[in-house]
Amino acid sequence: MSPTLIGEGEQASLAQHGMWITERMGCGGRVYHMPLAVRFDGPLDVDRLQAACRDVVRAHPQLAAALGERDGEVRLVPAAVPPPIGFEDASGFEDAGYEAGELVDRETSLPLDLGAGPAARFTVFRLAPERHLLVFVAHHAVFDGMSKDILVRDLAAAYAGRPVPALPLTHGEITERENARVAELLGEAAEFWRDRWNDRQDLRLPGLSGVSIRAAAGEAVDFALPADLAVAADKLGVTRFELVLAAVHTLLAAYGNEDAAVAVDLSTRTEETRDHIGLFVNELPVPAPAPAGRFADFARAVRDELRATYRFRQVPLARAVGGVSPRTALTPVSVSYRRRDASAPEFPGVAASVEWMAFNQAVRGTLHLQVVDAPDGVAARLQFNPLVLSRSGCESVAEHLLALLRAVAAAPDADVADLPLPAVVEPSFGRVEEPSASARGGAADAVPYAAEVGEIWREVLGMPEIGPDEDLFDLGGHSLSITQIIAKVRERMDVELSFDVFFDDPTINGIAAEVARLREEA
Amino acid sequence: MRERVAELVAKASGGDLAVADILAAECSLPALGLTSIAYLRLIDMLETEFDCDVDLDGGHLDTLDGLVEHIAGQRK
Repeated sequence: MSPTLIGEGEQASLAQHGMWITERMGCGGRVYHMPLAVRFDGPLDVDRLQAACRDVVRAHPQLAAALGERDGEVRLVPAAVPPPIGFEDASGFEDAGYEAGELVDRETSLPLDLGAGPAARFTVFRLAPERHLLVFVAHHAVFDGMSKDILVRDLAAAYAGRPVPALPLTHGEITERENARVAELLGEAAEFWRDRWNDRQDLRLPGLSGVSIRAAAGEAVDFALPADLAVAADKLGVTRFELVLAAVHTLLAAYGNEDAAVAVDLSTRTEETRDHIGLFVNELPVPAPAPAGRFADFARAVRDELRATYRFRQVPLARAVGGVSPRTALTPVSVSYRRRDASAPEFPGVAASVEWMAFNQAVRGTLHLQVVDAPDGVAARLQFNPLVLSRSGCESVAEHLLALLRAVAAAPDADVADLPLPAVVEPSFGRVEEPSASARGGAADAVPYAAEVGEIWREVLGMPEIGPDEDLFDLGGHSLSITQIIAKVRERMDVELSFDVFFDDPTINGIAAEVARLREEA
Repeated sequence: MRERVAELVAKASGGDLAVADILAAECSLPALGLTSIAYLRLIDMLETEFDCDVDLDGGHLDTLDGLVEHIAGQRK
């Protein structure tokens, strides 16, 4: 894949840039596909629904956008291929023993193309004359959890013949304001994260045989959180999200993990962007003190930590600190929590029910807890990588979490020591060392092109001295540095670097060796 | 086996796609017009005929050759 060279375009947001790089390095794929399914019972007007889909795409240009790099910058342009809005007659499909869920899985597995489009796709399936299924799948770079609510709301409005409201800002304006805020906070954020961020890849969990922070095929364990979660949170003086996060930290500590950070998805939406479909999420790590004393006090300590982080919610961690390589999960264990206040959407003449948590069959790291808190219940899902965590291990984690939350709900004043906690898990595997590029010997001048590549690195990173085997990410490099290096190497050395080399060997010597290899091939 | 898989693709498509076109296609099966429903039918047919497991997760299974390779690997 060579970068798409494009003309004019708005600047992509920092989050989009990071996701684009991760995708180009071959670490994204299905984990970034976000499915949503709506079932319709009754006489659905398919033409009208498809027209409504077109209206929504028109109102939300992100869905019809593509990302392309030019001169080291990632920009948004209209996609060559806009989102397809298809129809398939699947009458008799369910009688033949298939389930609608299989259609959702299939649609989710279809490729999305951030470079040329489509970044999203709609398909209406007719299951029976009066039963239909709409499957929508979007790339996370142009969509997020809250976008689901906006999409369904605007689809319902358009289907009912109401206009979809125009958005107050263009994406370019949003990105400009966001970048200005980030630039202002960057120094403080670096200070904030210095003592808090510790890139630990060790982990103890029941049934664990390894650790992953890379996207992989995933499986899921679904369960419902206690109905009295809200009451318990109120009594503790924290939100439901803070209570769940405190419980996850308590469990991790009980398993024997010291100083574990849990990455959480924080919304970066503002009053101005609340109605925009797009990517408005930043994943940030939340550490916690060792759980001790009253659980209520511990939960409030977690709350304080989270609140402190909110100030920097728009600053990507990789921009503030060094050593964060592009990845799909910052930490092996992560949590996302979404409140859904919206009532059920009304499509005139038909009954619509939305599958808000359609699963993309992928996981971003080792274990991810997804919680959707809606008026009709708090649904939870543990997504796990079956290559490193067994299903029974994941089920144990779900049971432990439930037992803990139930006990907290029953006795909000309890001490941590009096709560039902699992036993310490012995580490089940040795520490896995990443193969280090610096293990390779040889002087800098032994590698051809190292001098030229080194000059580019010094310019991009703004550093006078860089060792030939120093790791780009340890030096504070991030996704922008990668695109800038690729652009400068293209311009000066007439070689198109792949993104993979930044994953395999992100050093001056590594890049120089790749340049030599590509020159030889040419 | 390539011809047989192409025949099953044609059958799964309910006759919308011709065997010759499938064999000659340089694009993916969805791009050729294979619908999601036809794809699920195809997977069932392949699993029955070749007594194998076809994993739905892989995007590489969207081409005829990808499918043939996957089935051949499963049968070892």
